[in-house]
Amino acid sequence: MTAQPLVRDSRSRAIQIAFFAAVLAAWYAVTAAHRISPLFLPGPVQVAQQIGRIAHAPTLALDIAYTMGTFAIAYTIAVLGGLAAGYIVSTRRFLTRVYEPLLASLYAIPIVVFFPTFILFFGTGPNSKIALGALYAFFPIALNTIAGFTQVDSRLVAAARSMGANDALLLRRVLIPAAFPIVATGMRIAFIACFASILAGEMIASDHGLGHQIAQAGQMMEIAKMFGYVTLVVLAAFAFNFGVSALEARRRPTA
Amino acid sequence: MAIGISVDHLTHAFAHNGAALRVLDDVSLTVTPGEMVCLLGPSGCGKSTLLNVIGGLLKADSGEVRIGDAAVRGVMPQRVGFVFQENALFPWSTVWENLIVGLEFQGVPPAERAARAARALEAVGMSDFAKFYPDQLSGGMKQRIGLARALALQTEVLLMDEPFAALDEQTRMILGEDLSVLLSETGKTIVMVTHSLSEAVFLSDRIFVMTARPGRIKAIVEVKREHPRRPDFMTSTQFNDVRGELYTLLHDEMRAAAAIAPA
Repeated sequence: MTAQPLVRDSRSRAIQIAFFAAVLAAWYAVTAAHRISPLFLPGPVQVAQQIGRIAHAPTLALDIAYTMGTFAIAYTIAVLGGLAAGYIVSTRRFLTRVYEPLLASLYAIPIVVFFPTFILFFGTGPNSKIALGALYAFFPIALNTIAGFTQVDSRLVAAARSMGANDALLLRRVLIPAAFPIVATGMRIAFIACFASILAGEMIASDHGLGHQIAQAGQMMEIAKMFGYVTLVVLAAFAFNFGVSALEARRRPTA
Repeated sequence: MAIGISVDHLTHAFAHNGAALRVLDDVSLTVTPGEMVCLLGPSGCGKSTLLNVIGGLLKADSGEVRIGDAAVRGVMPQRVGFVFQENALFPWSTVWENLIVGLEFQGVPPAERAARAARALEAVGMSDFAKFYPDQLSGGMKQRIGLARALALQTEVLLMDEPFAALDEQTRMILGEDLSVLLSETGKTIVMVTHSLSEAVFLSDRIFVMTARPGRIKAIVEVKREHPRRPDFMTSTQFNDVRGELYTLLHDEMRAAAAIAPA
């Protein structure tokens, strides 16, 4: 509203950029000084050259489409399932008492140990990664949806009821906006878990995708190429995070 | 236009640590149309419970409440408006949206909502703050918005649950003065819960003094003074006499309440 927050914003932004510049400079310094073998850690210049080569390879678009397509399906399943399951469990105290601890303990299981089972059932194609990614994303969404809807301030519900709100209006105008910040946090955690588990799945067993390329380049000791793909994944994650932050900034935070 | 309230033999208990905690014990009272009354009593005496039962937010174990000619079975958004303690505004909505959504809840046609919201905001002197969010406002301003939201609903009855409890002394004095002017103009029937003696005397036509839990009506004190009341009323002998009378009535009950406060 005033100039003050803008000044603060640009200052914190400058520090953030300086952080990444420092990481890049340190990376460059240790590799240029040949303190670390380029077989283990190639320098940023080599990696940049490899990214240029990867960008011209015909497989890049296919790999990106493969990984992102798998991710999109897995995440969509998790969002729909997690929101529905979480909301239903939140509507009755008895259901919350039974299922919230149950879901929380299932969430504690490192689901990746079942990945070999998923491969047996669904093959090495995208379906085994969809199962893995969707399961990883389901729990944080379901649990945060339960938390969001059960923690709505009862005074706000009473106020809405006293003014005549029916169930549909109460849900749309009070429960959903009140639960939204916590549910959104769950969806963000789920997004990261889903992306990471799908890449991990591709690294373990797949014929396509960015994870597969990273694992394969690593096995062939093409480390610069591997870091090229790693950089692309990191940039994709940053782009997503930036997009989400921009979306959240458009909604006014409730202090 | 204004309608009265009658409360007949209300009794209510809450479950507390497995035992029944009786909060209302055979409470009966009537409020005449257009009257402003206060429920005054020590903490935990059941005055807020009584207000919630009158407004249909809570069903009493036994007894009956009638608003006008209708028995209360649940909330009556067309007839009864609530002003709650602070933090009953929707924090994700602006002041304006808070008023509009209240009218939507009540079932007011979209075309009429803006005019009614604008009029209510003007009545409480908050027209300039329509685009603010609740957490950008002071406690007193929030309560003005809470009052505006209830006024916009144009109900004949207004129930106020310690609306100034969280405010500092000076803010509540100013709000009290404004409220006296505003409410005497609207002609609504008003029941307000408070534990402030001065507030009760300044605003009420009659004050129902309640006992410590289980709440009963201990005494009814009348304040014969025209509305709207001016600040000079507060320094009058009449004000001090009534306030002194209330203090005497309440003192033993406050002691009793402190002794039986649940853990």
